[in-house]
Amino acid sequence: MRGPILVTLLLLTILGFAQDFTISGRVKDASNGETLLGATILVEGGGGAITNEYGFYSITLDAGTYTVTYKYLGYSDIEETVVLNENKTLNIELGEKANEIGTAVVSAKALEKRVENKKISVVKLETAKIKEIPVIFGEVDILKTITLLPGIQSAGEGNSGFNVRGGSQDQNLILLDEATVYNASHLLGFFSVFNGDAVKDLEVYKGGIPAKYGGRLSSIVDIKMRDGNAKKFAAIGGIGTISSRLTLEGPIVKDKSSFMIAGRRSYADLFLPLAPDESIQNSKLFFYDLNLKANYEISDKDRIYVSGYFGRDVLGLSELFAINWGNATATLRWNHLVNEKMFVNTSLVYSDFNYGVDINFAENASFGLDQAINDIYIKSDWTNFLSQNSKLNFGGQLIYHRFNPGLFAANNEESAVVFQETQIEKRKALESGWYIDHEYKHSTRLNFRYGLRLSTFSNIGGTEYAYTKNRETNEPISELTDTTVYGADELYNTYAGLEPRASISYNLTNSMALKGSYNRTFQYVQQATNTSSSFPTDQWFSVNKNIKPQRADQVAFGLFKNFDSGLETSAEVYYKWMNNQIDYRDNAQLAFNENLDGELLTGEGWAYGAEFYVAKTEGNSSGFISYTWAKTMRQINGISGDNPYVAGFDRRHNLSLVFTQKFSKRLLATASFVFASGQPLTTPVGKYFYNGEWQTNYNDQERNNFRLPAYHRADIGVTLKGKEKPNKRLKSNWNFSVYNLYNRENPYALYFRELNDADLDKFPDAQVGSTAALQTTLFKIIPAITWNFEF
Amino acid sequence: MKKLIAYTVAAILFTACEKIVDIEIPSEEPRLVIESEIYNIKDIWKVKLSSSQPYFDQDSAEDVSTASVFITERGGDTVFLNYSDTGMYVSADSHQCIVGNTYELNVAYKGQVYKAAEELQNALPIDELLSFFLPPNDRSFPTGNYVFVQGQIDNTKKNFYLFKTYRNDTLKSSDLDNDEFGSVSLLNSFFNVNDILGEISRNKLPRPILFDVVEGDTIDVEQFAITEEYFQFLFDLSAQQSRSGNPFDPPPANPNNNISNNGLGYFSVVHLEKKRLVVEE
Repeated sequence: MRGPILVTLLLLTILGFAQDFTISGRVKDASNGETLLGATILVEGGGGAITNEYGFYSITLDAGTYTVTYKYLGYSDIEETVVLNENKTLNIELGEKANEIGTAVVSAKALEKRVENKKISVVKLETAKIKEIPVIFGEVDILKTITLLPGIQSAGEGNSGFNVRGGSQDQNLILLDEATVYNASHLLGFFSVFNGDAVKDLEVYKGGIPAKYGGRLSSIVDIKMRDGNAKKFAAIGGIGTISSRLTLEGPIVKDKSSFMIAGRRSYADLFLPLAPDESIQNSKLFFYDLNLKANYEISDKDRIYVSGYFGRDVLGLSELFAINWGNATATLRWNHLVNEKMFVNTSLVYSDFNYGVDINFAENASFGLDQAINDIYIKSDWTNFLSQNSKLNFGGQLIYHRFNPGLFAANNEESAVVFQETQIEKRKALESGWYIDHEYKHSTRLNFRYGLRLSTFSNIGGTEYAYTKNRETNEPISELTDTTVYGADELYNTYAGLEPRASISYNLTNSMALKGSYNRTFQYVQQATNTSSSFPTDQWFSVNKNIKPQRADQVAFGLFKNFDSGLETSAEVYYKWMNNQIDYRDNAQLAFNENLDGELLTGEGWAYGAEFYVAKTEGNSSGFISYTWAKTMRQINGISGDNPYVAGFDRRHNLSLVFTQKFSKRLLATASFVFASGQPLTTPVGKYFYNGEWQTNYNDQERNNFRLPAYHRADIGVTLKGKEKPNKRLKSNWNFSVYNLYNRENPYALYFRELNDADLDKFPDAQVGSTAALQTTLFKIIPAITWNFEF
Repeated sequence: MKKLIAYTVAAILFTACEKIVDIEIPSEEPRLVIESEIYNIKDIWKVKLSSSQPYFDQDSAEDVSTASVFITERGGDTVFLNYSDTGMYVSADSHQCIVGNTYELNVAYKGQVYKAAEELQNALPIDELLSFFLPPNDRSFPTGNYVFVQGQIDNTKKNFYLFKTYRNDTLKSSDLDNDEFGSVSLLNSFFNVNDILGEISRNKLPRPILFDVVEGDTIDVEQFAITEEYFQFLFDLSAQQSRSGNPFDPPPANPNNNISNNGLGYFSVVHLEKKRLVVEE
């Protein structure tokens, strides 16, 4: 143990002795003062840096004179000559490139650089790009758009959930300004909760996850809100077919402090009274959300950010049934510059997701169910820019989780007689993560990044249950045998996991790179679901005595090549091993079951696949093709006759094509096409007559024995910009889109049942008493129109 | 429920559609289906045999007529059942099951042997079948005649019940129950029928087995004492049968039964108690 420490100390000493100075500062957008993350700083003669999520960079160089170039995609470069004889602060503002037609000459040099900067298994999207891609009802949806990229598969239509490299939906950590978003769906998944106008950018880590992130097995989706315009007051918004949105932003103190407030509300429900069906007339259906952010520069070294999100969905069917759900998050951040080389951000974060269901059968039969998950955490992330080739990241976080698995209560006194109030025991837990991560540029050809994360998890207080489940055979018997009661603040069931992370990049030539990564991840909080759709009632719960932490190991290799023609290509392969994967046993009883974990079985999972990507990002014609071949398997004793089975979200082939054409300064058109293999499901393999009716016979030796028909669809969108006049501040555009252009009836669900008399209304040819397969389709062709403005 | 909601959202937003589709799904070789219930009451023993068929098959169920069937009382006699018609095999004489004894069914069909065994459970209490008239009240309970079962729960063991309720010889309901709900169980021994409103004001109301009965109705209740395995089988069968794509649906699977060799259905040995009540004013 002593050896490595000595070497490290020695290294640090050597680094400290060199006669060197640091250039540091922030890179911002000249038009609005937004910090630019991922901007490249190149030093002539080799070396460089990339700005971090707060736009900060730091480069340490030997004393001398340098030409430093600041670059950001879509912005004009700035070149600075720096005489380095002391530590320097250089805050740079980059201006957007004029959006001209016919001047898209892409320098080969810029392309070469991008191969190097591209991280393996990481995709990054700027909102500007996302806004060009047509989506349903013309609503910009970042989560829908990322599912077009390789390795990220949509969980299906009417669902904002996604699966990353064989991971289930709950294995994605979705962060909005560092706060966990537990349910990213509006209207049960028709839209995601992220307002495109409020989002600066997002990064998705499918693999090669840096040690800084943890808590989920498969992916990290890191979404950052915009800071707000620090230069001038501005408003942007849009009026669409289904919702409208408005964002106001401006400086609080010019160039020092700004705010942003963005709101959205859907109004489909305003048209409900026009519906012919009376039950629809009395229904409620809407969502709204609000993003808030403000920042204040206290000094050159300190900056404070406050950001928050609040959103709610309300859905009511007549007077009978109502459900409402939503997330609330709040983040307080403090950026502090210890010195030119040491950047630290400390955050206090609050995150809450809850839902309530109300059912009114009668005056004396009115009751509700409430569930919630609520986190408070503190985290601190440090970066030490040791030298221009070496960067050390370290930090930690502590999360206090609270779960309310369910409060079942009557809504009025009459109902209270019949329905006894039942509170399923609330749960508490403490999770922590500690990491150290080193980014090291060995030469212009070879880069490493390696790190280690230690995660821990403990239950706090409450009752612990034991079951007669046979641990060896995973026998599905959930008979309760033992209970242990712990004190309110007592920590127990402490789990700890070491998570090594590493990635390596080797540049074969200036435009071609070979990259590889390995990561181990643990997950302590998970969601149990029996279907593929993301429904707010799917319960989040923590590991305990019966459910052990999930663990995954993933290796990935990729080849990246850019061509002089402007094409960027990549191919990646991955293999992932997963432990302690959960699934419900056959005949699991899911309705209001206090001991739901007794219905779960655990076993192995594995996934592998290949991803191909070709993109042309610049020029009048741009777009990308993404193809993924993937296989995701599970083997859980007690399920599928102990045989390996295809996971419920496995989709073998995934193809997406996106093509954008600029016709003139004002006219832009986009077309896209997606294809995905059908979702697996378990079908009957026969029927038998028992107890006076037809019963369905399943093959218990093979879960998910069938696939729905393939999913495919084409969309088009056209954006027409208003004429820009130099003396007018208002800029506007019209967006017309058609979703599902050729009206494909994609299956949303397929189910099997006996036909009855009621079916004759809908299907006059139906044979009552016979068994049939019924398919539902959600969206046929949908045109939409949106007017967007900015001033 | 989940699909219903998602579907309604779609219906509200735009036009979702549902259609009967013609698809090919995997099919399994036909399996033997056994349906049999024998009692503590002296009766002819009957076993019904049929064969499973492809899911989209339009024919009615195919009877099995070439099997050899016998039931053995463990440590006792063997009774052979002979084929009569429509898949039914019957014993020549009447037989009576005895509490605590285990009965084994043996079916030989097409070179395969299917076995099942079950023990007869002790009788469960059903002291009385009672009815009462609930006058208008301040608790919004519907006014009318209620019928409920009264008896003392045996708390020394777990009890599993199946109630079949007939109104004027028509089956009205078939309810599974165990002691899970305790105070609101079908069995309610503490309820005073002579002080209905008083009991209600003390937040007590027996769980009615039937409501909306009228004067002169003949109510028959069959109470079956069943094994935990049979209870679970019936429970799971009903949950699978009423699948609707909601988030509380169980994963699609066959209920566990007591028949070996992948046979479908169930061979049950049940303790039956019957009570009859003619509703009076």
